[in-house]
Amino acid sequence: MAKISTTIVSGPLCADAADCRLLGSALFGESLEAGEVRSLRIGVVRDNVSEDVAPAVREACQEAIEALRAETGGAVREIELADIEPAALATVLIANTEGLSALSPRRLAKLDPELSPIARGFAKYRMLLPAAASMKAQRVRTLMRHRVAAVFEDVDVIAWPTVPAVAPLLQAPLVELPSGMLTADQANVRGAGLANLTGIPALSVPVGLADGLPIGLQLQAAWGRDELLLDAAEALERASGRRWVESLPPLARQAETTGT
Amino acid sequence: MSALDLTLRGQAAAIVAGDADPSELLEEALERIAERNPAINAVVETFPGSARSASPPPTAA
Repeated sequence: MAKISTTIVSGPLCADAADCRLLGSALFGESLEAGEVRSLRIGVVRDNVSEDVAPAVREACQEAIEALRAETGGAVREIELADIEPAALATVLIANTEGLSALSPRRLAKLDPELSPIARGFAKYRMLLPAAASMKAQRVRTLMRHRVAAVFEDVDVIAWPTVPAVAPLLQAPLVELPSGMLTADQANVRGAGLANLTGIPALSVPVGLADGLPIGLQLQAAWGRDELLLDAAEALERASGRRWVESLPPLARQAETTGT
Repeated sequence: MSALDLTLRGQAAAIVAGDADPSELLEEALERIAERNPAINAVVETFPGSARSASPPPTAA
Protein backbone atom coordinates (compact mmCIF):
# COMPACT_ATOMS: atom_id res chain seq x y z
CA MET A 1 0.00 0.00 0.00
CA ALA A 2 1.14 3.52 -0.63
CA LYS A 3 2.76 5.15 2.34
CA ILE A 4 1.52 8.61 1.46
CA SER A 5 -2.07 9.67 0.96
CA THR A 6 -3.25 13.06 -0.23
CA THR A 7 -6.64 12.55 1.36
CA ILE A 8 -5.88 10.90 4.68
CA VAL A 9 -3.53 12.80 6.95
CA SER A 10 -2.65 11.99 10.54
CA GLY A 11 -3.65 14.50 13.17
CA PRO A 12 -3.95 14.75 16.93
CA LEU A 13 -6.91 13.25 18.79
CA CYS A 14 -6.92 14.77 22.25
CA ALA A 15 -9.02 15.72 25.24
CA ASP A 16 -9.29 19.35 24.20
CA ALA A 17 -8.08 21.95 21.72
CA ALA A 18 -5.09 23.03 23.80
CA ASP A 19 -3.84 19.45 23.90
CA CYS A 20 -4.39 19.20 20.13
CA ARG A 21 -2.25 22.31 19.76
CA LEU A 22 0.52 20.71 21.81
CA LEU A 23 0.43 17.33 20.08
CA GLY A 24 -0.16 18.92 16.68
CA SER A 25 2.96 21.05 17.13
CA ALA A 26 4.94 17.87 17.76
CA LEU A 27 3.36 16.00 14.83
CA PHE A 28 3.74 18.80 12.31
CA GLY A 29 7.15 19.92 13.53
CA GLU A 30 6.17 23.53 13.96
CA SER A 31 4.75 25.49 16.83
CA LEU A 32 1.03 26.20 16.62
CA GLU A 33 0.77 29.45 18.53
CA ALA A 34 -2.31 30.34 20.55
CA GLY A 35 -4.15 33.54 19.78
CA GLU A 36 -7.37 35.31 20.59
CA VAL A 37 -9.98 35.00 17.88
CA ARG A 38 -12.19 38.03 17.43
CA SER A 39 -15.02 38.86 15.03
CA LEU A 40 -15.00 35.34 13.64
CA ARG A 41 -16.89 35.03 10.38
CA ILE A 42 -18.61 31.66 10.52
CA GLY A 43 -19.91 30.19 7.28
CA VAL A 44 -22.82 27.75 7.31
CA VAL A 45 -24.06 25.78 4.33
CA ARG A 46 -27.79 25.33 4.00
CA ASP A 47 -28.77 22.93 1.26
CA ASN A 48 -30.53 19.58 0.96
CA VAL A 49 -27.40 17.56 1.66
CA SER A 50 -25.81 19.52 4.48
CA GLU A 51 -29.20 20.01 6.17
CA ASP A 52 -29.90 16.28 6.07
CA VAL A 53 -28.88 15.84 9.68
CA ALA A 54 -30.41 14.00 12.65
CA PRO A 55 -32.48 16.47 14.72
CA ALA A 56 -30.43 16.13 17.92
CA VAL A 57 -27.20 16.70 16.01
CA ARG A 58 -28.62 19.68 14.17
CA GLU A 59 -29.83 21.28 17.42
CA ALA A 60 -26.54 20.79 19.25
CA CYS A 61 -24.51 22.15 16.34
CA GLN A 62 -26.75 25.18 15.85
CA GLU A 63 -26.46 25.95 19.54
CA ALA A 64 -22.68 25.62 19.36
CA ILE A 65 -22.42 27.86 16.30
CA GLU A 66 -24.41 30.55 18.09
CA ALA A 67 -22.22 30.15 21.19
CA LEU A 68 -19.08 30.49 19.07
CA ARG A 69 -20.45 33.56 17.37
CA ALA A 70 -21.29 35.19 20.70
CA GLU A 71 -17.93 34.25 22.30
CA THR A 72 -15.93 35.76 19.44
CA GLY A 73 -18.19 38.71 18.73
CA GLY A 74 -18.48 37.31 15.25
CA ALA A 75 -21.13 36.76 12.63
CA VAL A 76 -22.79 33.78 10.99
CA ARG A 77 -23.08 33.92 7.23
CA GLU A 78 -24.88 31.58 4.91
CA ILE A 79 -22.57 30.36 2.18
CA GLU A 80 -23.04 28.36 -0.99
CA LEU A 81 -20.99 25.27 -1.56
CA ALA A 82 -22.54 23.29 -4.38
CA ASP A 83 -21.92 19.64 -5.22
CA ILE A 84 -21.16 18.37 -1.73
CA GLU A 85 -22.37 14.91 -2.66
CA PRO A 86 -20.18 14.48 -5.78
CA ALA A 87 -17.32 15.88 -3.73
CA ALA A 88 -17.87 13.17 -1.13
CA LEU A 89 -17.83 10.52 -3.84
CA ALA A 90 -14.63 11.98 -5.29
CA THR A 91 -13.04 11.90 -1.84
CA VAL A 92 -13.84 8.23 -1.38
CA LEU A 93 -12.71 7.38 -4.88
CA ILE A 94 -9.37 9.16 -4.59
CA ALA A 95 -8.75 7.74 -1.11
CA ASN A 96 -9.41 4.25 -2.42
CA THR A 97 -7.30 4.49 -5.54
CA GLU A 98 -4.23 6.24 -4.14
CA GLY A 99 -2.78 3.03 -2.79
CA LEU A 100 -3.26 1.07 -5.99
CA SER A 101 0.20 1.77 -7.34
CA ALA A 102 1.56 -0.45 -4.60
CA LEU A 103 -1.08 -3.13 -5.01
CA SER A 104 -0.52 -6.04 -7.39
CA PRO A 105 -2.25 -9.38 -7.93
CA ARG A 106 0.83 -10.98 -6.36
CA ARG A 107 0.49 -8.88 -3.24
CA LEU A 108 -3.23 -9.51 -3.15
CA ALA A 109 -2.53 -13.23 -3.14
CA LYS A 110 -0.29 -12.75 -0.14
CA LEU A 111 -2.82 -10.91 2.00
CA ASP A 112 -2.86 -11.96 5.62
CA PRO A 113 -5.14 -15.01 5.83
CA GLU A 114 -6.67 -13.49 8.94
CA LEU A 115 -7.90 -10.50 6.95
CA SER A 116 -11.71 -10.52 6.91
CA PRO A 117 -13.48 -11.58 3.70
CA ILE A 118 -14.92 -8.05 3.43
CA ALA A 119 -11.50 -6.41 3.65
CA ARG A 120 -10.12 -8.94 1.16
CA GLY A 121 -13.00 -8.31 -1.23
CA PHE A 122 -12.62 -4.55 -0.85
CA ALA A 123 -8.93 -4.71 -1.73
CA LYS A 124 -9.76 -6.64 -4.91
CA TYR A 125 -12.65 -4.33 -5.75
CA ARG A 126 -10.29 -1.34 -5.72
CA MET A 127 -8.25 -2.98 -8.46
CA LEU A 128 -11.35 -2.85 -10.70
CA LEU A 129 -11.98 0.88 -10.41
CA PRO A 130 -11.62 2.48 -13.86
CA ALA A 131 -8.89 5.05 -14.37
CA ALA A 132 -11.41 7.41 -16.00
CA ALA A 133 -13.36 7.59 -12.74
CA SER A 134 -10.20 8.53 -10.91
CA MET A 135 -9.48 11.31 -13.39
CA LYS A 136 -13.01 12.65 -13.01
CA ALA A 137 -12.58 12.63 -9.24
CA GLN A 138 -9.43 14.73 -9.63
CA ARG A 139 -11.40 17.24 -11.70
CA VAL A 140 -14.00 17.44 -8.95
CA ARG A 141 -11.18 18.02 -6.48
CA THR A 142 -9.85 20.95 -8.50
CA LEU A 143 -13.33 22.41 -8.82
CA MET A 144 -13.96 22.13 -5.08
CA ARG A 145 -10.61 23.72 -4.27
CA HIS A 146 -11.59 26.75 -6.33
CA ARG A 147 -14.99 26.90 -4.64
CA VAL A 148 -13.52 26.55 -1.16
CA ALA A 149 -10.95 29.26 -1.88
CA ALA A 150 -13.79 31.59 -2.93
CA VAL A 151 -15.74 30.77 0.24
CA PHE A 152 -12.76 31.66 2.45
CA GLU A 153 -12.65 35.12 0.97
CA ASP A 154 -15.92 35.78 2.80
CA VAL A 155 -15.67 33.68 5.95
CA ASP A 156 -12.95 32.51 8.34
CA VAL A 157 -14.39 29.10 9.09
CA ILE A 158 -17.03 26.74 7.77
CA ALA A 159 -19.06 25.11 10.55
CA TRP A 160 -21.25 22.04 10.19
CA PRO A 161 -21.84 18.74 11.95
CA THR A 162 -18.76 16.52 11.85
CA VAL A 163 -21.05 13.63 10.98
CA PRO A 164 -24.82 13.88 10.45
CA ALA A 165 -25.78 11.38 13.17
CA VAL A 166 -24.18 9.85 16.21
CA ALA A 167 -22.21 6.63 15.81
CA PRO A 168 -24.33 3.58 14.97
CA LEU A 169 -23.81 0.16 16.47
CA LEU A 170 -21.05 -1.91 14.91
CA GLN A 171 -23.58 -4.66 14.24
CA ALA A 172 -25.79 -2.29 12.20
CA PRO A 173 -23.70 0.58 10.77
CA LEU A 174 -26.68 2.59 9.50
CA VAL A 175 -27.72 6.11 10.43
CA GLU A 176 -31.23 7.52 10.32
CA LEU A 177 -31.44 10.92 8.66
CA PRO A 178 -34.45 13.00 7.60
CA SER A 179 -33.96 11.66 4.05
CA GLY A 180 -33.97 8.04 5.27
CA MET A 181 -31.48 5.39 6.31
CA LEU A 182 -27.94 5.61 4.99
CA THR A 183 -24.80 3.65 5.68
CA ALA A 184 -22.63 5.58 8.13
CA ASP A 185 -19.71 5.46 5.69
CA GLN A 186 -21.83 7.14 3.03
CA ALA A 187 -23.20 9.82 5.34
CA ASN A 188 -20.06 10.60 7.27
CA VAL A 189 -17.96 11.86 4.38
CA ARG A 190 -20.43 14.54 3.30
CA GLY A 191 -19.05 17.49 5.25
CA ALA A 192 -15.86 16.11 6.72
CA GLY A 193 -14.71 14.73 3.38
CA LEU A 194 -14.37 18.22 1.98
CA ALA A 195 -11.23 18.74 4.05
CA ASN A 196 -9.79 15.41 2.89
CA LEU A 197 -10.52 16.29 -0.71
CA THR A 198 -9.28 19.88 -0.76
CA GLY A 199 -6.52 19.70 1.87
CA ILE A 200 -7.92 22.40 4.14
CA PRO A 201 -7.40 21.95 7.89
CA ALA A 202 -10.35 20.80 9.96
CA LEU A 203 -11.12 19.80 13.50
CA SER A 204 -14.05 18.46 15.43
CA VAL A 205 -15.16 19.92 18.76
CA PRO A 206 -17.49 17.99 21.08
CA VAL A 207 -20.73 19.96 21.46
CA GLY A 208 -23.23 17.57 22.97
CA LEU A 209 -24.51 14.06 23.53
CA ALA A 210 -27.42 12.23 21.91
CA ASP A 211 -28.45 8.78 23.07
CA GLY A 212 -25.35 8.91 25.24
CA LEU A 213 -23.05 9.32 22.25
CA PRO A 214 -20.94 12.36 21.38
CA ILE A 215 -21.90 15.00 18.82
CA GLY A 216 -19.16 17.01 17.12
CA LEU A 217 -19.12 20.35 15.35
CA GLN A 218 -16.63 20.42 12.53
CA LEU A 219 -14.73 23.62 11.86
CA GLN A 220 -12.79 24.01 8.64
CA ALA A 221 -10.54 26.89 7.65
CA ALA A 222 -8.43 27.96 4.70
CA TRP A 223 -5.11 26.29 3.95
CA GLY A 224 -2.48 27.12 6.57
CA ARG A 225 -4.94 28.49 9.12
CA ASP A 226 -4.59 25.63 11.59
CA GLU A 227 -3.88 28.05 14.43
CA LEU A 228 -7.11 29.93 13.79
CA LEU A 229 -9.04 26.66 13.98
CA LEU A 230 -7.49 25.81 17.33
CA ASP A 231 -8.21 29.33 18.61
CA ALA A 232 -11.83 28.98 17.48
CA ALA A 233 -12.10 25.56 19.11
CA GLU A 234 -10.78 26.95 22.39
CA ALA A 235 -13.26 29.82 22.14
CA LEU A 236 -16.06 27.29 21.70
CA GLU A 237 -14.85 25.28 24.68
CA ARG A 238 -14.82 28.46 26.77
CA ALA A 239 -18.30 29.36 25.58
CA SER A 240 -19.70 26.09 26.91
CA GLY A 241 -17.69 26.26 30.13
CA ARG A 242 -15.75 23.22 28.86
CA ARG A 243 -18.91 21.21 29.49
CA TRP A 244 -18.57 18.88 26.53
CA VAL A 245 -14.81 18.36 26.46
CA GLU A 246 -15.01 17.27 30.07
CA SER A 247 -18.18 15.22 29.80
CA LEU A 248 -17.82 11.47 29.69
CA PRO A 249 -20.27 9.54 27.51
CA PRO A 250 -22.12 6.90 29.56
CA LEU A 251 -20.37 4.10 27.66
CA ALA A 252 -16.95 5.45 28.63
CA ARG A 253 -18.12 6.05 32.20
CA GLN A 254 -19.27 2.46 32.37
CA ALA A 255 -15.90 1.28 31.10
CA GLU A 256 -14.20 3.46 33.69
CA THR A 257 -16.31 1.99 36.49
CA THR A 258 -16.06 -1.64 35.50
CA GLY A 259 -12.63 -1.53 33.89
CA THR A 260 -14.05 -3.23 30.80
CA MET B 1 -6.84 10.24 40.09
CA SER B 2 -4.12 8.88 37.85
CA ALA B 3 -1.84 11.25 35.96
CA LEU B 4 -3.21 9.52 32.88
CA ASP B 5 -6.53 11.28 33.46
CA LEU B 6 -4.90 14.69 33.19
CA THR B 7 -4.70 16.61 29.93
CA LEU B 8 -1.45 16.30 27.97
CA ARG B 9 -0.42 19.68 29.39
CA GLY B 10 -1.15 18.36 32.87
CA GLN B 11 0.84 15.20 32.24
CA ALA B 12 3.76 17.19 30.87
CA ALA B 13 3.70 19.46 33.91
CA ALA B 14 3.57 16.45 36.23
CA ILE B 15 6.60 14.92 34.51
CA VAL B 16 8.55 18.18 34.70
CA ALA B 17 7.65 18.50 38.38
CA GLY B 18 8.80 14.93 39.02
CA ASP B 19 5.31 13.85 40.04
CA ALA B 20 4.94 11.41 37.13
CA ASP B 21 7.29 9.12 35.25
CA PRO B 22 6.92 9.00 31.42
CA SER B 23 7.61 5.26 31.21
CA GLU B 24 5.08 4.49 33.89
CA LEU B 25 2.56 6.72 32.15
CA LEU B 26 3.16 4.83 28.92
CA GLU B 27 2.65 1.44 30.58
CA GLU B 28 -0.48 2.70 32.29
CA ALA B 29 -1.83 4.01 28.98
CA LEU B 30 -1.21 0.67 27.26
CA GLU B 31 -2.88 -1.19 30.12
CA ARG B 32 -5.90 1.06 29.98
CA ILE B 33 -6.25 0.63 26.22
CA ALA B 34 -6.12 -3.15 26.68
CA GLU B 35 -8.76 -2.93 29.42
CA ARG B 36 -11.23 -0.62 27.76
CA ASN B 37 -10.83 -0.90 24.04
CA PRO B 38 -12.84 -4.12 23.73
CA ALA B 39 -15.91 -2.16 24.87
CA ILE B 40 -15.44 1.00 22.81
CA ASN B 41 -13.40 -0.21 19.81
CA ALA B 42 -11.65 3.17 19.51
CA VAL B 43 -7.99 2.23 19.13
CA VAL B 44 -7.11 0.45 15.92
CA GLU B 45 -3.50 -0.37 16.68
CA THR B 46 -0.89 0.29 19.31
CA PHE B 47 2.87 0.29 18.89
CA PRO B 48 4.15 -0.67 22.33
CA GLY B 49 7.62 -1.65 21.11
CA SER B 50 8.47 1.61 19.41
CA ALA B 51 6.74 3.58 22.16
CA ARG B 52 8.84 1.90 24.81
CA SER B 53 12.04 2.39 22.86
CA ALA B 54 11.24 6.11 22.48
CA SER B 55 10.50 6.45 26.16
CA PRO B 56 13.28 7.19 28.65
CA PRO B 57 14.02 4.43 31.15
CA PRO B 58 12.14 4.64 34.45
CA THR B 59 13.76 6.90 36.94
CA ALA B 60 15.08 5.31 40.10
CA ALA B 61 12.81 5.85 43.08
